[in-house]
Amino acid sequence: MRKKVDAHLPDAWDSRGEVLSFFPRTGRSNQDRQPLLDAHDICVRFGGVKAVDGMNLTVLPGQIHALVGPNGAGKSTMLNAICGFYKPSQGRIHLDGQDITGQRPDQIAARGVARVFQRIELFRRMSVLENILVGRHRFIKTGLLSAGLFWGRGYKEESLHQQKVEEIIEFLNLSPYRKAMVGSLSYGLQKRVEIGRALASEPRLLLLDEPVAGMNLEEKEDVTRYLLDIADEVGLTMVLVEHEMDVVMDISDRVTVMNFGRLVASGEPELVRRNPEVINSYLGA
Amino acid sequence: MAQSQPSVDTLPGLLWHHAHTRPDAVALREKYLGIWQEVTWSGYLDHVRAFSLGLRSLGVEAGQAVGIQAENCQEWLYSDLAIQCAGARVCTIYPTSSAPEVRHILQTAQVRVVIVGDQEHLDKILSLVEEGLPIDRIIVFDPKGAGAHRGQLVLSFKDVQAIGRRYEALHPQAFEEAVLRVQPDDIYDIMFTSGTSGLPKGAMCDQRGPVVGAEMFLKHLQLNPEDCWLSYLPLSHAFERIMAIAVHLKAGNVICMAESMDAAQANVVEIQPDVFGAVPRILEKIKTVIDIRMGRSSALKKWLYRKALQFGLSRARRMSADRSRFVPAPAGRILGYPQSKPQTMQPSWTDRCLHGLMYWLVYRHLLKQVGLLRVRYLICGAAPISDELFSYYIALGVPIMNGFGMTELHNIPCMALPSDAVPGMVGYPLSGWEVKKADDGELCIRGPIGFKGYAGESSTAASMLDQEGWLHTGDLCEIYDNGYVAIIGRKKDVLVTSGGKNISPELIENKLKASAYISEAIVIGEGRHFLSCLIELDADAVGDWLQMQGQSYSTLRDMAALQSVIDLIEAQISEVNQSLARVETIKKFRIIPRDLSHDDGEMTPTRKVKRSILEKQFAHLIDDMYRTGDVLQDKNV
Repeated sequence: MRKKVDAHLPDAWDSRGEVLSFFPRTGRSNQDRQPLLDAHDICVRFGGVKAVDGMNLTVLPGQIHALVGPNGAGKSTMLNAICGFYKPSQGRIHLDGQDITGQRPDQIAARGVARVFQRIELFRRMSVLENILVGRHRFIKTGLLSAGLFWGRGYKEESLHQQKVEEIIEFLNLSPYRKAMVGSLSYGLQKRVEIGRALASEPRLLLLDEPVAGMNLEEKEDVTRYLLDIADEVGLTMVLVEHEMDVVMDISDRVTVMNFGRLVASGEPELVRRNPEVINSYLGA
Repeated sequence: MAQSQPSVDTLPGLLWHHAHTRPDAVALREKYLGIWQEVTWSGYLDHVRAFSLGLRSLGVEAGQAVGIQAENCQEWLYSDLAIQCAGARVCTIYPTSSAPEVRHILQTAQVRVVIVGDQEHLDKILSLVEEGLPIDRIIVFDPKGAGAHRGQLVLSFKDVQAIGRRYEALHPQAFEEAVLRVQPDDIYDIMFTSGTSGLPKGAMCDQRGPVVGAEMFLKHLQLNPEDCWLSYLPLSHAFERIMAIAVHLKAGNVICMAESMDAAQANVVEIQPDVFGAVPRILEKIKTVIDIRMGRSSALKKWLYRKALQFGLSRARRMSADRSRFVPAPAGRILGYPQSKPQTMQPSWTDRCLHGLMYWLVYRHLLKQVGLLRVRYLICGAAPISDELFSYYIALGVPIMNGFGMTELHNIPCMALPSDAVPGMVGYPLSGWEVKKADDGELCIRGPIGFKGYAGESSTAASMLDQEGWLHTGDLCEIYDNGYVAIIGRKKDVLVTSGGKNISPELIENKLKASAYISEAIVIGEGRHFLSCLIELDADAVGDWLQMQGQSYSTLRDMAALQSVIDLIEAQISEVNQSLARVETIKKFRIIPRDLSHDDGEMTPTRKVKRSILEKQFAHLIDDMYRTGDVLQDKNV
């Protein structure tokens, strides 16, 4: 017979202390708040081609928002427009109410937008720890001399950042590979390091471009698990471009379907899955 | 007069004793956020106290079984001792056990409260609960990502400790009273076997067995309180439980928790432990690491390593007692520690000087690289080690010792100190233990055995223990009149060829596994007219060899099909064949085109092969071998 647990359990329930303690906790159920990302009527043209054509995307804080569609639908272009790689020829993008349209990628990154690329873009000859430490770049204030000599403020600052990196390593279970050269790791692990590096920049919005492409089943399950953990622990908002419909349906709070650069449907995963236009243009019968 | 202090005849009593006599001494170390954090003995007891009272407050009663499925971590040790302090029994589950195996174990031991390591284990138990398995409570060590489940069914380790602390505030003496109630005759754990030849069986053991056993063990090994033991083998395995719980609590030394099985190799290098336990597979891996690194080093270093190894191996031969002079003792003769004559060999002065030179030039650097520089005792157990591998470590000057133990024993009754080690032998009976060879060649052991039968089985301990207290191990052995014991193989595994020859496959397999390129070998031959074997490649070593040869491959399947790899393995087998009797030679082999795994049920969690399953799984390869001609050339003339 199960004895009833009386109330008043401790607030935090991890005996080792909180991981990602430096992250602001936003929680996952803030759906009545104003959107974190609001892209309205976005157009991106390459010469005569309209890769994105009057697209709208609204992402609520704390949600995992999937962006799906057939090849060439303009999903990655949309991500590139959000993070400043491409300048939209029309439309406005607001991050937490502030207009970020047309800003440079580094300016947008400084506002708390991090990106995980489809192709792995890590420093292959650096260790896992060093790669993640790179993600702290936007917080490092030490000058070249102090950092180069690793003395005084440079030393103190780096130790402080290293502690935060260690929390990320712990969170993503990367400790066995802490000092391993990134180039020697498997694809799945490298992807995890890339997610770690993105987390290190303490983003408010994480953009993920096909995070599970080219992975085996185990690696896919791992990455999906970590994305859910990130959402659970710190309530980080994520926009996810993905082809794997199983992954999308499993983890997303909201799905937006694109085709020919336009919005086809947007809503809860089950509703979108049943939408006849989506079935017609993307999922098939 | 009422007893005021817990006795040191029980494991909780020993913990209580250390926490009160040397509260600030370091008991455990575990890495957190990249730094090794220390836990003192009083800290250890505080954790145990809070968790134990928490369990009690949640309704865990004396005699009840509480399951633990987790990777090694400090919380495992706290929970283990806390369960014992509550008078309950620890039911161990391998972290890699699949859901059906976990179900079998939980049902057999009638477990209602399960402690799990992380979310992966939690999901496994939750799926069993959904299928209708009656579980009252699940406690998670690392609750990351399990937030949605927190409530009446799922609690975290910290939650239970918080409940325990509240209970303690109301009942300040409850913990001490509970520790006093624990008696040496109480059953403290149900350790499940790895299930090599069937479903895992839960061996129940009382407190006395491991406590007395550890005391006997420590009469031979001199462990200091600051000596480090790296805990990385699963805590559900007898070897690790003996060393990290019984011996640790008896000797009061320091346990360092490896970050994970994958990180163990890096952790050994950081910790440089004083006492190191390893299964042969790990020792093979370390040797492969050295071989690969030396293969990539400069010509001078390679030459030095070759010369140092040559000298080391010849020194090892001179140092080991001549086995051919050992006289087998007749079956039924009882040999104990007083009757055994350790074969200690004194090295010559030339050997000492040359070894010293090689140590400073070569061995010291190698051993530091693999983390064995400070090791005073390297205990090898859990599976048979090949003579070649054993001699390799002696050659490098590593104080290696081979021991024998089994789940039912909860102890290490046979072992030889590094100075007395003889390759191919598991040593002699230690103080308090006796051995004898039964008429059918089976090894029987008597001593402080805590075994009290299997959980959930109506048959008592009698199925293994006879009336005179002998435990029938199921292993075939040879015992010599100087007390040394050699294990030949499992009684159940003996093959009878169609020619009527009895062959123990393990002996041949171990010789094959000594090759750096062979990770696992399974000898086939029951009812057949010759022996053949299935080979699992060591992907790292073969991959490295292929790279040296300038050949490319994409997957393991690809690698296994390469003619050069087949030739490489053939050469390895032919070499082994030369040291075997004609009937024992391997005439054919096939390479398994993938890794064997516990998940597919081909291996036990301790990486012992499950023969019956493998023979079924690879029946097509086996049939193919016995269908076609082309046998390996028999060079053994």
